[in-house]
Amino acid sequence: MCKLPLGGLLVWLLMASTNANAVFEPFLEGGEWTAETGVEYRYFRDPGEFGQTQNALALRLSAEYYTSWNDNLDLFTFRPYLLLDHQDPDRTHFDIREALWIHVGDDWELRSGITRVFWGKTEFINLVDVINQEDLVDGDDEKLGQPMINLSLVHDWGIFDFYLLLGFRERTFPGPDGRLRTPIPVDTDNPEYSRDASQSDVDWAVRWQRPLNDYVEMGLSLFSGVDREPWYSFNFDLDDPMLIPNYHHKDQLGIELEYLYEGWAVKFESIGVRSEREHYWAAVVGVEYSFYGLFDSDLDFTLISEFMKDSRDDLAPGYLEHDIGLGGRFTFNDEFDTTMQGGFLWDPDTEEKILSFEFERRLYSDLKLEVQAVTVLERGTPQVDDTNAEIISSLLQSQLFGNDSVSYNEVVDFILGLIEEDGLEVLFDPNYGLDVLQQFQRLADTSRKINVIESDDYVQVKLTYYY
Amino acid sequence: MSNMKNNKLFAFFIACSIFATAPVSAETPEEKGYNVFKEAEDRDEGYTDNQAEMLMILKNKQEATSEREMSVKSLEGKGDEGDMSLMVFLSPRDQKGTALLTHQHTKRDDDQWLYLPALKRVKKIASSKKSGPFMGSEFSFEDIGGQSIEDYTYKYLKDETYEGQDCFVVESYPVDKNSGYTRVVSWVDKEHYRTLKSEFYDRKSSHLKTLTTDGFKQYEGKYWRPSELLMVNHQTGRSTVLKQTNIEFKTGLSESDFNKNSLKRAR
Repeated sequence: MCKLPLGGLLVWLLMASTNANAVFEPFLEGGEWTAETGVEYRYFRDPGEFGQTQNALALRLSAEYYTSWNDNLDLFTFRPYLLLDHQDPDRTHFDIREALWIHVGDDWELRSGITRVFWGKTEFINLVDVINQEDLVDGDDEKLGQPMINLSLVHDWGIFDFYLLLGFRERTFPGPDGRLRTPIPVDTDNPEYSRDASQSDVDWAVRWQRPLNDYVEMGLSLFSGVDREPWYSFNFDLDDPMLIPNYHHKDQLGIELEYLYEGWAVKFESIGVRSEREHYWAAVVGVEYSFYGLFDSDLDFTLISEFMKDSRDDLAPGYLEHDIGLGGRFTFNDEFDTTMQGGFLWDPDTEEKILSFEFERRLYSDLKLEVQAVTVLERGTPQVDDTNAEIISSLLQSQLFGNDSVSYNEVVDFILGLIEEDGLEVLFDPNYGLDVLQQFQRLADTSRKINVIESDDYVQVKLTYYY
Repeated sequence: MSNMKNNKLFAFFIACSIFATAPVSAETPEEKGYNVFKEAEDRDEGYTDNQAEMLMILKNKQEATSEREMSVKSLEGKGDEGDMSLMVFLSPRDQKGTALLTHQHTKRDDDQWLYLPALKRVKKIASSKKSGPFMGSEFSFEDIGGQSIEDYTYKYLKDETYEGQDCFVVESYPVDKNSGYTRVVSWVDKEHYRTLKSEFYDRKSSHLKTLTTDGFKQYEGKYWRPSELLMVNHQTGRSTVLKQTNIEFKTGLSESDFNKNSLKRAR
């Protein structure tokens, strides 16, 4: 793992260019601005478990500047993005989604700057997609811009991409006032990094993609860098309980396959991961069938089924550890680009069930409507005990705190500290931080992931205007 | 024994004399139909590459309802390989940057990839989608994607005058069972082999759509291109006008302008 003082490098680069103006001139000439404004309204069926409101309004502002020079062999895109949320100050944030210069050569191109990258084939989850950090507070499929240098080579054997990822972006999380949050909020201001990871890491990745024959496309990828998905530890502060995100290094090998024939699609993604903490694999296999021109109309209908498995089972941080996903997508093929889709996720082990629905349609030439609804049909009941003594005993037996783990020692130290300070009765006093410990126990119940999110069924309506 | 030998020789002589004396008059309607389109293709050979801006106007019976702007590039295939094309949407603005890459093939299904800029995702499109409407217009994917001569079988029907021009009327039958058509009747002018009008018949053999072309201009002293195409759907009353402007030939495009990387940065 190499570490570079990035700020210093940038300053040096700027200084080294004797005339900075000459360097930046092409970026600023003859370009074109476009912009979009989105208003998002969310209605939650129930009041928040921690007193959050049922109505939430958010505003999205984004602009894009695009210019090209040198006979379209050099391109530059700049895309600032601002999300303003009236309910949750932690959801309000600014990001540079893109500030990318692409230089095109004969059979290669060099992409330098900030951008977002997509890898993968499947629908419910994209295991191999590791380049960008998730912008969790923003919504599904949203990603933070990642600074990088990416060399892409087009060869007879396929497309080879080499990435140098300059610095690491931390995941965004809803704050205490926000919805869709964990019962104990995540402290994004005090993340922890393991010895082999830091925010200024220079990570790398490689991807090779090619068609294997007329029907099969393949992708192979390697990633060595900070795992975008953190683990969590508890700050053991009963007055201001917080979850601390823990970031560490991982090496990942990924494979993607897609087979298309007539209306059929068979998709596969799998990863093998090695980190200081664990070795595991995960896979998703999907089968889709599309009916084109349903009942002699212009309507297309695609049936999607996917099966997900993570070798860590309950200990996987996500909730798609052994799940079945079923979906249906209607594409109307009309002049308003109307689409409608439904998704159903089911964990046969815990009977957790989530249902989602999405609708999209252009209203006028520059105005687009998106509606989304999510409901948890069955969340499973978390095992929560009634006294501190019981909770502590169950925590110490939890799989999450395996006997030698740092967390285990932390839990032990924490309890001993409490007893030392306030006496043994803390174990039986129901007023002594019981609710915090119960929430902590709820989080530690690894078999039921969805109960981590409070009862947050919602409908979201989004209107976006394009300039 | 010797008799048989003689018979074979006789048959050989007959075959030779047919080819030598009457190659045209023996042309079946199927051959003649094929030859009309082969000639049209041969006359377009060597266009190398071209680029154009397109404006699509969608209309219902009374009025225009929406517009789409696109820019299109295409590259002539070398040898046995089919043409390649890249089409990118400039409007409606929520679709800006959405792009479609097509690699035509002569002996198998074409490959098509769609780029969705919001997700930065390239998706391969199943070839069986070809009969579906393209971006809500009256043109289908197969109308837009371009066709190679092997995609159809042909039959010459008759000669007829269409808008003052002498035309061959040829019927074509799609080879691919995923085509939305059972047959297409085309009016091809005898002077320049340009398709002036086509009637499309759906899977139930009823008249579905009519395409008319207008405003032909000659480029590079050789290649004819219409400035306007009108597709009318007789079953819904809807229609789509496709206008082409800024048509340029031999702009120096190469295969590297038609791969997944160029699809992602198309403008």
